[in-house]
Amino acid sequence: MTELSTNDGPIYLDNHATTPMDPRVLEAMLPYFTKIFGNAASRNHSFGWEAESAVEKAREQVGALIGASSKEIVFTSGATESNNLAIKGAAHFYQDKGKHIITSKIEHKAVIDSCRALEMEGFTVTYLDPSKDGIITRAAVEAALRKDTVLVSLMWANNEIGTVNPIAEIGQLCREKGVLLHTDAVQAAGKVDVDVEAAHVSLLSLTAHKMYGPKGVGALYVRRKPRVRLAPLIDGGGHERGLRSGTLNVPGIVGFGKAAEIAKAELPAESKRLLGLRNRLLKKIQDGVPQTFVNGSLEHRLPGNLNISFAYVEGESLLMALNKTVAVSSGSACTSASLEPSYVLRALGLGDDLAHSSLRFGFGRFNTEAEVDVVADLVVKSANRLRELSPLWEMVQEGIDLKTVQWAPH
Amino acid sequence: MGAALTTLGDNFSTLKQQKDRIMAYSDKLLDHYENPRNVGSMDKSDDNVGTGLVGAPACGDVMKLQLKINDDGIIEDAKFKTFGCGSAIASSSLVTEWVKGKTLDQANALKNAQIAEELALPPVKIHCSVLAEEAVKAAVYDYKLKKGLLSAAEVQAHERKMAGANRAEGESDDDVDARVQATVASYTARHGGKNDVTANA
Repeated sequence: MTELSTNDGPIYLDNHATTPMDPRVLEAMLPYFTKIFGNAASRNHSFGWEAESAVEKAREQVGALIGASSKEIVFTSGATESNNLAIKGAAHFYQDKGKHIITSKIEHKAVIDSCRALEMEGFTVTYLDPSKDGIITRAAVEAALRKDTVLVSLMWANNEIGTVNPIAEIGQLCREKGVLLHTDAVQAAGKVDVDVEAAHVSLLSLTAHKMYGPKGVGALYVRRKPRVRLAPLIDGGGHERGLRSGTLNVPGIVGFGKAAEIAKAELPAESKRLLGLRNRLLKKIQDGVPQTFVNGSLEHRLPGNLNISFAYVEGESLLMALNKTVAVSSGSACTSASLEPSYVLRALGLGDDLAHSSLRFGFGRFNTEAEVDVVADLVVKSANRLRELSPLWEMVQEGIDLKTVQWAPH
Repeated sequence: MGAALTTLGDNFSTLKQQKDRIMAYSDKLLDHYENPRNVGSMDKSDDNVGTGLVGAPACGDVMKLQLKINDDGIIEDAKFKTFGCGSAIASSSLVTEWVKGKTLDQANALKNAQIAEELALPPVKIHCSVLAEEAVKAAVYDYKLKKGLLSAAEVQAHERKMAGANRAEGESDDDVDARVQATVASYTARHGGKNDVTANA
């Protein structure tokens, strides 16, 4: 079998963007490209039956990861589709009940832009501000609820700052008020405990490639009791109980199932290990570089996330110093090509200077302590070098309050 | 099948070229970023030193450029510090090399396009070269202001431009005018005799 090499090239610390596929997942998938190639919807012969049984096994595995029954799993092309289906599908189906939706300013673009599209159709959307440490509280949701609210969509964990929302508390509230709760659990599933029953979730989005599975396959959990109904986005042969037509991506789904099974089995030990890596990097950075700020709550946070601002150092120049050795991101992968600072960090109320100076480290299954040490040394060295180059750092050392300086914006 | 594979190969190489274009900065740019020239600060109260501070933290770029001018009007030293991306650091490092040994007029004539071309800046980074040009002009202006080498009209025009750009919150047009006039008045009071002496350096 092909060896997956992570030793050549840069160290990969961008596991929130995507994860490398686990070789065990690839192994599970391979027969389904060639030998077991049937269409899972073919009911008349063994090729179809074999494919269907593989899909049903994967449905069980994915459901088990989030405490759901396999009957509640709808396979999709990924989390962007799942988020679109959940939000637009629920809004359209229940629009006679009300046309108000609650979400937040730190959601993934797939959620925010789905909500924006609904606004164009006449829905009203409330975009909640997070607390200073990046959490959406039950109280914030409660204050925004209206008589015509039909859907609340809040991420389980944030992709940039790794903060974990109190979804169980919000789920309880939504159940009491008879409002649907959708959660984008792409970053949380397989990393922290996710249980749709304990959290009273109605709809939940997943994707395989953030949990060491293949790209191009995701799932939407759709609650059966009480039954949640959706208007489908894609019409056709009526696959996936009519919610998502289209021939099933059997190898991808098999891989997703295997990835979910491994994630569930290894979660307790792996989350401790990732926390160790993160704390190791954080301590080395804090010991080596003064005036760094962790963005978002450290307590309610994914174990594998560190988002940190280096005051008076510009993030892109820091990235340039790190690029050859380590793959990290400044802002989210979707926005790092633009010159705008991250909208998530802005929503936390961070000043532009700190928002411009942040790096996101995402640790994953294949990272080691030795890699963390290499990265930590380089980050400390580079940040201090760029501080020496920074006129802002110099002014602060001279006791100048940067807020009193008359800047000439360009 | 063979044709399909060739097409795939072509697409792949196009993608790779695109990535190289985005990711790979020129060797000159990388050299200035990794080994910046003339990093440091000079005494800004020294009459022979002109200081330009341009950009804003909110925009992610701040350049401080200082020029030391000798009695013959020649720039004999230049220092910089920059908060900004690699292109901003390289642009400011490059101009410190270029302006040394130049007259103030020659320095003022420096155009951002020359910087952008020398460093092969990608389009999204052109603003870094603009900022470096502005830093040189601001440092020259500061020196001339200290030495009384500007006319009252030049000071007024410059101050008005700056005042418009960084208007304080709640400041009215009249307030801005008053601020500009106060600066011009204080300048003419200090350099009254030289009001009409324009750039003779």
